[in-house]
Amino acid sequence: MKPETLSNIIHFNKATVYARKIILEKYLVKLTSGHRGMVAKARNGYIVIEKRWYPKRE
Amino acid sequence: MLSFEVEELTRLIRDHFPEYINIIPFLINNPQIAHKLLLRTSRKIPKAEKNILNEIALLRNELNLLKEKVEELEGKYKNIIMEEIAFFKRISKDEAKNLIKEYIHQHPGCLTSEIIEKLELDPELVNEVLIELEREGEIEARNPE
Repeated sequence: MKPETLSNIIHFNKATVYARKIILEKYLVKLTSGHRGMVAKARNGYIVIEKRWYPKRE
Repeated sequence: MLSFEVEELTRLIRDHFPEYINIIPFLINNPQIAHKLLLRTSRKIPKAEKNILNEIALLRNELNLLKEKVEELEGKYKNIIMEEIAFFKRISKDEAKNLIKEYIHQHPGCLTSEIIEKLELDPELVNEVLIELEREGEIEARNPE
């Protein structure tokens, strides 16, 4: 379940954050390919990179 | 705060500041602020007679401040509702492994977060178990759409 990594950049389709505190900033930042997104700072928690899980077919 | 004070204040707002009717429930719930506001209003009656327009402007400012406070409190209240508290069970790795395996067999295509939330397990433990099960060839992972 290793995500595609390039130095310290991790690419993933979906992720969930579990943290004691999540601070959502109101300002927008530029993301890759010109999209805009919001910033959230998480304290003391995990970021779970989502995968869909299936039982292995024999 | 006494009930007649609440009534008095409600009447004052209804008669003179109908646009601030929304603030009444806040004042009822915050008697200290309501009491101060009423005291201030009654103390300033002679002054208000001399320059009633100034007094109305002052009270309007005060009510605006209160309105802002109400909005701020409403925002805080919304945040409290949105807050979700998750409790994670503390079980052994083997138990977790069995539970997760069973869950994936029952719900093929489930997300990692679903496993964490439905089984109420620690994210770190779930991740560890999932990697192990994948290595053992019990389950397989696919990227979500």
